[in-house]
Amino acid sequence: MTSTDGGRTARLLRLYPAAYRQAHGDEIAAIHAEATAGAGPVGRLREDADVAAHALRVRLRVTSTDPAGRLLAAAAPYAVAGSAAWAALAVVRIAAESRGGWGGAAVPLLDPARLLLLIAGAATAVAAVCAAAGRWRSGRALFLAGAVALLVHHLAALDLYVNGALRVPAVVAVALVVLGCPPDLPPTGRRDRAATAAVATAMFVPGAAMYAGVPGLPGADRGWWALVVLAAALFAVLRQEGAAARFRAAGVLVAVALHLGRVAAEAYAYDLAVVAAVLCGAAALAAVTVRRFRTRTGAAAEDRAVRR
Amino acid sequence: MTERPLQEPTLLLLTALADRPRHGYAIVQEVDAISGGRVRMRTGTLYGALERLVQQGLIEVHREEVVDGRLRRSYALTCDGRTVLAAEAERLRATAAEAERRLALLVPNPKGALA
Repeated sequence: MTSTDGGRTARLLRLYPAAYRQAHGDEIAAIHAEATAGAGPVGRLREDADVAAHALRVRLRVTSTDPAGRLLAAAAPYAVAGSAAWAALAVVRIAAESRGGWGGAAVPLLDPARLLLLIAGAATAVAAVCAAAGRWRSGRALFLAGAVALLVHHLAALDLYVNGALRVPAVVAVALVVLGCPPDLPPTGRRDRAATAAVATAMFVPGAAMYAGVPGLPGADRGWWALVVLAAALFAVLRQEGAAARFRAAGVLVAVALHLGRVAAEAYAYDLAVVAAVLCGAAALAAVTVRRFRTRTGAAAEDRAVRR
Repeated sequence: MTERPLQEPTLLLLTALADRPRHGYAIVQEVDAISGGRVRMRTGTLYGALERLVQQGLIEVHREEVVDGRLRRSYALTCDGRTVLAAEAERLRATAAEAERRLALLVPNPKGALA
């Protein structure tokens, strides 16, 4: 290791809290030195960025050993699914409006604001497809690209419908949840991928049908349908026992909060918060009831087996 | 102990330690080899995963030594880690066997399409 490399490693280690650096600095430096020996500039940069990110996680207490890190890992699939469904609905709406669909006059697609929304929406929707297919790193990169496009849109005050500035915190919050998911706990397991696909599809398909005015369905859902889907997801995870299930349930609640943040600028945001509280409360109550019933019938079956 | 399937980084890391204890960079190289170059664990990610697995009791610090003036720790599977890895290997083996059995049942029809 050259003295330049040593200085670089020492600078990276300074990013860790002092106590952590004292306990683990030598070992991290040794692994980093071996990993960067003979690596090109890009390889070194990636290793440096990874150590810097880990140091930041340690400082913010969001590593995979911290409860907050595990919560972010649990929330990420639902956050991606919720954002993707919302974004896909926006894409469908913009595409339909550009053709004069759904009762309005045709709106030019080449409007810069619409194009930016279209790009952001498409990137976010494809990100969910990647996540559901187990390609979390590609999905996360696309998701963050979509979030940046959406931020540019809102910050440039190009928003088509409401005051864009009120939507900025919601975009930042959802991006932080996805970015905060610890890299050694990617949501690529079967359950996480199934949750991403199921929640995104269950939000998008009926949502699009309602927007399109399919007979027998209510009109545009104004955000409540997503809450129904998330409450169903909460019921599904709370039916299971154990710490992992509790983290997943907390992850669903984070997604509910993110959804409410997304509609915070709308006039009906307060009503939606009430709907969310009622639906989530009912889902939790139903799940607890089902679990108790299962425990009781399981115990009764065991008693019968013992008597025989 | 959890019965959920292991996530890939965890599975690869435990597999890298299955035959003998290894230190940090040796684990990186083993994970690279086991995954056929598909998964490259970088320093911060590896260290985060090692800490988590130590906390979960799946691996433990096997030895500490000073090499070139730096502390080097090697890690080994614990009994719990070995049990979890064996259960995961059995689960994967059963899935693979079932996939092979079903593929063997597939008979192409005369037009070349699959029955």
